[in-house]
Amino acid sequence: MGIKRRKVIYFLLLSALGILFAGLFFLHYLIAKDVEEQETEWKEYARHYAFISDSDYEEEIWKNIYNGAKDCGEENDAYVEWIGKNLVQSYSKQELMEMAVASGVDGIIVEGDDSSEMNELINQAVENGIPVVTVLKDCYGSCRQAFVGIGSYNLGQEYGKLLMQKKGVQERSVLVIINGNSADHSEMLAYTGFREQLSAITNDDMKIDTMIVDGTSSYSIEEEVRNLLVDTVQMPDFIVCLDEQTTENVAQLVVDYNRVGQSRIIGFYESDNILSSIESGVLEASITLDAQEMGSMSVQALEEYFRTGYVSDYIPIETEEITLENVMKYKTDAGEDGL
Amino acid sequence: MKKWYAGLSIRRKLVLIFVLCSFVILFANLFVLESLEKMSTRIESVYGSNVSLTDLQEELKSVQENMKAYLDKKTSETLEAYYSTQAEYTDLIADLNRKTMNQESKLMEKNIYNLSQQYLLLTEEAVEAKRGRNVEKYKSSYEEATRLYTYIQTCIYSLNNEQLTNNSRQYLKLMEILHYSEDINILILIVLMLLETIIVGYLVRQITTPLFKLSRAAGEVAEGNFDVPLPEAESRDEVGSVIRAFNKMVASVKRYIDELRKSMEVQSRLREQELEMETNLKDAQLKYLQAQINPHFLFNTLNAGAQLAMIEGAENSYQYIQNVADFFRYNLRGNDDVTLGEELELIDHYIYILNVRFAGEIHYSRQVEEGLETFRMPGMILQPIVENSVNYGIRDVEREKKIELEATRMDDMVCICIRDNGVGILEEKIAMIMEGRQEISAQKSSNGVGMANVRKRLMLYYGVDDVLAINCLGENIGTEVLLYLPYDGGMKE
Repeated sequence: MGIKRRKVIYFLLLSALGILFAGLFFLHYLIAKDVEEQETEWKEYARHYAFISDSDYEEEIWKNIYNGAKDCGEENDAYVEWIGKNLVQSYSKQELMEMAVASGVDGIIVEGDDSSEMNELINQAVENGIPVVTVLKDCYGSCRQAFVGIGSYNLGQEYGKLLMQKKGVQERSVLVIINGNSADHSEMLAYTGFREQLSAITNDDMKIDTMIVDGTSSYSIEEEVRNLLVDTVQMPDFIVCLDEQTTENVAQLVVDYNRVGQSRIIGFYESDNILSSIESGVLEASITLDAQEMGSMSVQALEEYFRTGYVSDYIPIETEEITLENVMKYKTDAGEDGL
Repeated sequence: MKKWYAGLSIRRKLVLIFVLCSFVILFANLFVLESLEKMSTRIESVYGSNVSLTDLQEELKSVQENMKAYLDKKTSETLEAYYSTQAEYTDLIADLNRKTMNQESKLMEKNIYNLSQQYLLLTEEAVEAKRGRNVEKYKSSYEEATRLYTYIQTCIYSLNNEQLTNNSRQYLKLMEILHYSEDINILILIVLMLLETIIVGYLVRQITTPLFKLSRAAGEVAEGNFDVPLPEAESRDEVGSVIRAFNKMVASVKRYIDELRKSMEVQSRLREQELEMETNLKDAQLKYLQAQINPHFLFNTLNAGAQLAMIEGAENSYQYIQNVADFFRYNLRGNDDVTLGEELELIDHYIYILNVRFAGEIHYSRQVEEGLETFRMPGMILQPIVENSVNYGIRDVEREKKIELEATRMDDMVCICIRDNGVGILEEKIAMIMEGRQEISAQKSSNGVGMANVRKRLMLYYGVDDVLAINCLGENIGTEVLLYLPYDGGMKE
């Protein structure tokens, strides 16, 4: 047998063996990887926080708050669970609070409201040794450890300031759309702040109308705004929306009913739709606050409470104004955040 | 290892190859089967968590029902049923996760566990209150427990749902892996088959290659070529033995053939010697015979006869024997170079002998120019010509038989003419003689030297072609033979 031939045979043998072992190892790897995936994914945490919001789980602001909280929790060895998100049945905030307390979580981050029921539940939780932090909206009078966000009254004032900046000489009519959730008076409070801010700054006779919509049932806001747009002959100079959902609905309907440019709309928050609407001129401006920061601060407040047994009562979050001038910055931020 | 393998018999080698291949295939198959088994076990257990959650849900329902039954009826049976289901439910939830984990379903388990603990506490409270007839307390506890019951049910249901989704995903993934592993298994088996083929081919080749070499060498040997390079016996199996035996056989056959060749050579040499001896003997015999017919002996004998005749006074006999003796003496001496006189003297003797034999019938006359007797020429030239004239010309002529000889000098040539008055000669015969085709005198009656011989010797002697001419003078008139011999050549001595 020639040397060359012998080399070819050795080569074939080696490569065949190589393929064989590669195949066996790959098979082994596939099975092992599957097992690993099942086991190593789980990580244990020291604390378990419940995150409770009344709103739609798809609402951008709550997603961002939750993400901020979750990320911060991750850094502090705490897991933040968005209670109710994975349940097949939807429960009210109060029921979820009850559930969280019964589940024996270590801390609760909750979207506050002024209802007595919530007040009671928060107190009950605190009694059971579970610290509670309200976020975005407060629950005045409860024993909650801290509130993270901006006070509704203050928020209203911010709207007032922004409106005055934007207002032209001839513009006098303002429509404030208030999401009149039965238990939640926060937007009413904001409206008060807004109104007082306006009257404090200007002497003009501003015609301020309010439209109270019912945000508890699905699509009711949309329906009422649609009626407004269809029925109204003379559109107001400004429309002020005090929450994300209303802002999105109004922006969408204005486009649908061809009312773009007839009113200058000031919205709330910085969801993708809102940012695009500002960019295309449908929305005049939007007032926003750093939701992630808010979430993060909530967890930090709980952590601080666990560490020191004390935490400051009110943790304010700065508001920001988004206009056509600075909308691109938010768009890129959102892009970078991968939201 | 190699040495050990080479030492095995073919049967053992073949069995070894077979066993080796079988084991490789067996192990590969076992591996493949094991991996498939693992996969199928995993797939089977995928939906196990759903089953246990459903059990949990059922048990919870029983606890709630039994609690309600007790609160309604307050019988010992219902109380017992409540406690037993409560204990069972406690057992069941003991398996649930209680740690805070970043997996939704694990977290849900924790929540279910804690909710259940709370719930069981409340049911206990309700039952205790019922027993203590504390209506207000058991009512509130019952309501609270019922609320928690619905929460737990929702949680379990949600978890079940989630796990079903997860499990379905898991199932699909496992199925995908299963398909992968099937493909890989097929690949492994194919590669294994190739590997086996190569190994078996290699090993079988190791067995058969020496056989091929042996058969090629045997073919060469069968063709008679014993100088083929002999195959080497590397292995110590049967083939190796055959090769060694073959090599030994070829060597001995070669040796045998060499010996045979040597003995044949000796034999043929002996035979050659024998033949040589025979030849020598023949030669000796010939020499002896030749010795017997020695002309000297004959000549001396004739001389003795002549002397005897002289003593007895028989003059004619003496004369005759003397002539015969002289004639033979001339023949006896070396006749390369003689004088014309000596040639003429020989003819005189010849004619004398013939005339004794034929009673003086032949009339011979000669005319030789003065001074030509010393002309030198080759011997035995004229006598054959005269003999021809006698034998073919005048022998059967009835009239007077004449032979005339003339030798004259013509410029630088010596012309010798021998003329008879016989029957003449045919032109064809002349042509034959001139072309040297027929030796007229090569007959028994002749003394051996023919005309062609004469002509050739003259040509060689003088280096000239036109030395002899034969003329027919006419039928029954006679024949003339003319010799033209260069005088310089003849006198050169």
